[in-house]
Amino acid sequence: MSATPRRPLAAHPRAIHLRYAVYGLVFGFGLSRIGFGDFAEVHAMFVFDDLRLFLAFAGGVALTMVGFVALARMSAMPRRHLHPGSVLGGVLFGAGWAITGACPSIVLVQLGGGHVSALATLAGVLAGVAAYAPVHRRWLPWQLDSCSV
Amino acid sequence: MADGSRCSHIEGCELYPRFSLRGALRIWQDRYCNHPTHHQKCERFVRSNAGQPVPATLLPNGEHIAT
Amino acid sequence: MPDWLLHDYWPWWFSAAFFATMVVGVWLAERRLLGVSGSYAAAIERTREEDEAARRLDEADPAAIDDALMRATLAAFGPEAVAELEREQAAAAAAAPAGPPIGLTGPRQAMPRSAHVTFLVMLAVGGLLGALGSSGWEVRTDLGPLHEALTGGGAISLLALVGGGFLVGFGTRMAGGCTSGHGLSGCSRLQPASLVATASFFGTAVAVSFALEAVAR
Repeated sequence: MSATPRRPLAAHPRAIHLRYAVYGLVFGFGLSRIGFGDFAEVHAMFVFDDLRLFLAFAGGVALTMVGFVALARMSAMPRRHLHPGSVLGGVLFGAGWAITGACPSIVLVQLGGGHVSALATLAGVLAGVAAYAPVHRRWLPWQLDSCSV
Repeated sequence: MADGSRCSHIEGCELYPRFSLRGALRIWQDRYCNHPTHHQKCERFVRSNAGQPVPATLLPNGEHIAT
Repeated sequence: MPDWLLHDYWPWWFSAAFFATMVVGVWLAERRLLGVSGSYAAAIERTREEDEAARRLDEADPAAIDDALMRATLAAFGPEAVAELEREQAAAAAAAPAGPPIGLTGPRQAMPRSAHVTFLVMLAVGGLLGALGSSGWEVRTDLGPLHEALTGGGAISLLALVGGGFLVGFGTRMAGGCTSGHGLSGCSRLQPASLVATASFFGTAVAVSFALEAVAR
């Protein structure tokens, strides 16, 4: 091997930072332009006043499915395993989403959009994530889904 | 759980995709990840369930990829 | 460029195409499914030992990682077992030359904590750029009159945000994913856990939203 091996840009150390910076920027921009960062829009979806956001989400799921099916057999992709936390965690998250208008990505979009109060939500999210692992180890009997975070 | 045939942690595993790179590396998948019972002996699986750190370099047999 | 792309909220069909492009695109480029709560978990839960291992792998030459992995494999199983597996695979490939489906089980690069944090920070920057469009960017101390009316206003609204935020963080960790990880990446693959989690958080959010309206009236 030569002293200075040439590598493709994609494999360069820290290139992953650049790539994820782009994903974050594009995803954050899109979420904002879709209106997911707007509490009134999110609430309108949840009380069925305006189904635009719901259709955007459901349509996104459907089109993603088309994309994954077109790429290869779905069976080649790993599975997610059902456990009690899938339901209970969903209930807790759903309640939090209705109250704050935020999911983990949206709170950052709200913050970037100038909503200083989203700092309060973000503090709650960070505390909630930090609190989960110790609580799970101590009290919850089922296995966590993944080896690496 | 419902699917006991292979490791339930494959989805988030940093190493599993690396084991697909070369034919010879699939031996890890055969002997651990996709094995109906032996995946429970995987050091990554064991440590994860015990709430211990699981470094990306940790191999199923407890050794580390020496970089 | 059409005017609505920058100045109105996007129509649902364009938004749907955007979501699908993001999820499939990130998968193709990274062999990782898009999931924002996972980045929070990596940023917060990861130990120093874990992050150092990820950084070492990220910064090492891929060929060197390959060599080290091969050495460890030979040490673990012995050259005979490895050679036998290779012979079996060669025989199987000769019998069915089509080979495994490509594209969905490739390698992925180790992701250091700093890359997860970069992703999260840039989500906020993206939100800033998006807000510069229609409404214009301005500093606001609340989430708007509707949120104030539904959650009590002022300090009570702020407390609701902290408590609600805690539920979001705790709940997404417990469910193992959020709107992106379970909702988009999981439901699109008909994963039972994702379908259940998504039905659960959408259903609860609908119920709580109606409850907030009922209480506020």
